[in-house]
Amino acid sequence: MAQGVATAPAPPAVPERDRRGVWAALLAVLLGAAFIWLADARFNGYRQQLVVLALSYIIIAVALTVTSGFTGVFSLGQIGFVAVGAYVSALMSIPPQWKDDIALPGLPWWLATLDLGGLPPWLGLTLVSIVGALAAAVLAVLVGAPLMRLSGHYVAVATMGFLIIVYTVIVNLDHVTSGARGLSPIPTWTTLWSAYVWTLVTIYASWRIRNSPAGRAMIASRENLLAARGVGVDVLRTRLLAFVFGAFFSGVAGALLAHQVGTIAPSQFYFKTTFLVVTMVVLGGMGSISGAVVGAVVMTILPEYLRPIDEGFTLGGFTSPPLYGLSQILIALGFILVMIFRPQGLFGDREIGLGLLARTKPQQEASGEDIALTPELAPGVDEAPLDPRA
Amino acid sequence: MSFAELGQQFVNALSLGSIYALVAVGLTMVFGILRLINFAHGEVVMLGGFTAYFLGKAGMPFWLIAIAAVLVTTVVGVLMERIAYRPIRGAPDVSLLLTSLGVSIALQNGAMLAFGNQPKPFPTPAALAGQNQLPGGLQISTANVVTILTALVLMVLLTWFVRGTATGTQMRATAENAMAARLMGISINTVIVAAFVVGSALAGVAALLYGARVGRVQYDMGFIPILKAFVATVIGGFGSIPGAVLGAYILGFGEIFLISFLPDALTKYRDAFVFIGLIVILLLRPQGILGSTEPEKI
Repeated sequence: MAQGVATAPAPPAVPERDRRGVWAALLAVLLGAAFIWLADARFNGYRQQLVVLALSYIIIAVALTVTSGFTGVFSLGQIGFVAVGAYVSALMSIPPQWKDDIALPGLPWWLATLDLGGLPPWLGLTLVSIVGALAAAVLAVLVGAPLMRLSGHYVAVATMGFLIIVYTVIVNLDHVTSGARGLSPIPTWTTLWSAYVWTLVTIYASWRIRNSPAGRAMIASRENLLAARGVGVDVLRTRLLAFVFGAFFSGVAGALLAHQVGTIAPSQFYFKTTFLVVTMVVLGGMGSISGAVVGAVVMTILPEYLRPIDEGFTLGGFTSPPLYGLSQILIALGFILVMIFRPQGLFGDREIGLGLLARTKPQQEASGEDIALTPELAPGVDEAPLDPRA
Repeated sequence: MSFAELGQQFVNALSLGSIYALVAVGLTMVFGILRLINFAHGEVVMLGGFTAYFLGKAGMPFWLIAIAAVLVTTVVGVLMERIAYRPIRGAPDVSLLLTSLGVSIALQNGAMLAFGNQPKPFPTPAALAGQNQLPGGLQISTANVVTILTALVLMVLLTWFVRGTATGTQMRATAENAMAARLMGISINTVIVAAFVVGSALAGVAALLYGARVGRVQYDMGFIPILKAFVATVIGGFGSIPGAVLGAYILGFGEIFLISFLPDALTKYRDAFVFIGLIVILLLRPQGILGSTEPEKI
């Protein structure tokens, strides 16, 4: 697709300066595995759930980094694909007798009678995750083919429309999805290890794509659309690839989430989660895979630590839901502050390594322009930034 | 459908479109100047609604409530610009959009924290609650009539403001070319504040009319109006004031008649239809009906 880019001699598969990076990555994988092993052995159920949640969010945030960070095409519809993955996988894995109990008359017979109970849970999870992710990816091809023609906030608006459509359909198609009540019980197949393996797969695939001709085409079309086209990048196909890639792994994350606590509801997959994931990616730095990982971990753990602040305001020993707004407010305010003072996020679009083994990609200086469209794409204010002091 | 029913639906659509229009004008004015899609504009509506609720509970007369609600929304809009949007002026489109999402979430949760998550009754005055019998079996609520007339008067005033006053002219000039406007000695800050003042005041009026229509006030009541205003703005063309008004009425009619003519099984999907329509418009004519700037497509 981007053959035209390779006008320079093809670089070696692992450039010299990347060697240290590979070792850093291996070390990170091992440290991660050690942590998962520790969590598996020592953490209580609640903490383990939190770890799985963080891993799922890492997958979604990294997927969004590829979809939007690499290409500059901002998608607010990512969570729609998470929802598709969650529902498709759950409808496959729920045993037939449970489906009868929930009463889902709209299911086709082959889905209603599908019984994966005979499979070992890890295999069942892998199977339904892949099918759920494929469903999300196919939908992404259909939706993305027209939408990836748009740019700037037009694409943000259109993908947000997609999210609303997915939500409306799930809520109203209650003879298939069980509607606003949500779907439960779902077999709880997700384990720490399966979530960890999928996280590694997502990060590795994203890293590979970033360093492939397709990934360079994505970044080129973000940095300068005209120049990218000038060297033969098929911008539409490049963006579509990123969109479908992001949808696939979002679908995987949806399946992991659905099979974690065994219950899903449409409200889980709407604006609140969208904003949370966007915050993760923006905090880490648009376009940085490791930034997305850090952003996802911080934004999963932080609300948990903020929760006592919420509860500190409860009176008389009972907790009422309205008081839970405070952590959301703090997160939103923190997000605005990041936007004002560090719009490039923590890492811009650079990657971080571990301590001394840090492998900093030689990128252009990180700036607030990371998600900016090229001037040709955003005429007007971008060319004549308004000075607040004017 | 009988003639009377058709007439009633017509008035209903006109009234719904009027509310959308009042919200959409503020959205499109700010967009025209700043290229900012201000999601938090819906929370301005919500805070107007709560002002009305609390003053109504305190037993104030409705005219006083109305003035206070509009004042509060105006102040909220101006503060929002000053605190959140001014520091990031000129940032990329998407950063602006995301910041406004952040403002929206902060205000929504703030309202939930302060006022609770249960719906509260809107203090609809008795004068607005009545129904009017018209010849031909037509039954029209006073609230609808007042909504339509209020919107009409405000649109005339708005036209006068935008076309006939110095600030309005400066506003149009800034929307057209901010750099040139500044070189002509126009104070960009004044123009931007003016846009927030006018837009938020109209949102305050919309809050009163919308509150009277749905009869209740809740922390997330701004969500539906802002989404619809947003669709209206896309239909009409981002940045165009007449476009936003036109889009709002098209949406009002589209929605009411979708409900009337669609089979019952499909009416609950009307939001999905609205947004499918939005996506189709974005693809076929992203500049909207009256928009002028052609956005880039590949």
